[in-house]
Amino acid sequence: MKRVILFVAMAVAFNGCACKKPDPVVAGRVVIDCLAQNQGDLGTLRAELLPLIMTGDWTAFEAKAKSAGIDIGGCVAAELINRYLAPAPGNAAPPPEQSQAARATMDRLRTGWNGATFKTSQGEL
Amino acid sequence: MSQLPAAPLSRDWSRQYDAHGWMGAPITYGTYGNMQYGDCTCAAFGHLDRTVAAQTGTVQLVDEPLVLEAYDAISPWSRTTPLENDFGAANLDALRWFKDRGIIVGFASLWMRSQVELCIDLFHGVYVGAELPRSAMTQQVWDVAPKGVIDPAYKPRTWGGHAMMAVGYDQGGVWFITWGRRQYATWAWFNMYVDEAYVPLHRWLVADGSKLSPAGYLAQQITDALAILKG
Repeated sequence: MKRVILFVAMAVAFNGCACKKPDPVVAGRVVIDCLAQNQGDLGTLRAELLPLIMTGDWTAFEAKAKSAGIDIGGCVAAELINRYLAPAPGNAAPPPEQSQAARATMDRLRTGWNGATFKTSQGEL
Repeated sequence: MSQLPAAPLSRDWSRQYDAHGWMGAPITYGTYGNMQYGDCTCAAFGHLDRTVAAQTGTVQLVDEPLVLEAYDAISPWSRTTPLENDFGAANLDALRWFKDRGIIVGFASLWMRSQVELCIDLFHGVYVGAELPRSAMTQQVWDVAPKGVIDPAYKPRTWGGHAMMAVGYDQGGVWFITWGRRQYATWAWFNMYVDEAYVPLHRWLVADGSKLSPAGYLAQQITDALAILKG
């Protein structure tokens, strides 16, 4: 009997937790310090995402970056998209449709990460 | 160009880019008389000209005498009696003067942050009028009052009106050039205190139709973008 009561109590407690109002979203901007992330992890993901930019597969790019999480996925996505949109001197900027698709991809990722920005050597991306 | 391109996430034309596209040393700027006179509306064109010349490897067209000539022409201030009538001038008058002189070939009004980002990228500068608060006198980064803080120093125009050229941005804020130096302001500050913004097209960005601009656009693409912005 004691065991049944304990089980019911645990179930109630569990349900209580499940129904708990979520913690309020902390006000203020989230800034991820990309310079402090694991550079090996960043390099690995960079190598995976770069070919997707070359082929314009923004759907796959977004999915991979998202699954890598905000710290690694966010930093690499922001860096690569910025380099794509702001090419080195002497190189042509991407066509408007492609640049819009790239920026929209970053905007969607950022929205999913509550508006986070990414501190890099190229500024806050 | 049937539609406008998207802006990068950051761009800073007040720093030199190396061949790989990495940002390097900051460009040095003059004050164009703005430490002595209220010629900020005109000095900002000196800052745009310096930025474009440094990034494109062309000669500077604007120097301090030209800035003072412009200020003399568009305001009650006179170079012959420089201590009198030094009350500033209107941004639109300065835009028209530098367009008449052929330094810029056109301009358009801007309304949204996305336009400001894009125009800094494409045109190397956005010309703004701001209502400076006294708080800006002591802040290293110009920012709005912290949440819950009520301080009259943050009230717009408690320091005065000011014109500046924004030549860089990232997702945290904007790089202005003013009084001969770089000044960073958050986007919240920009939204709170900037009350007018224009994009001027410097002639050097469209002087050679076959050459890519530092941002990677041809002259025709830049001209088309200005036409779209003008509506």
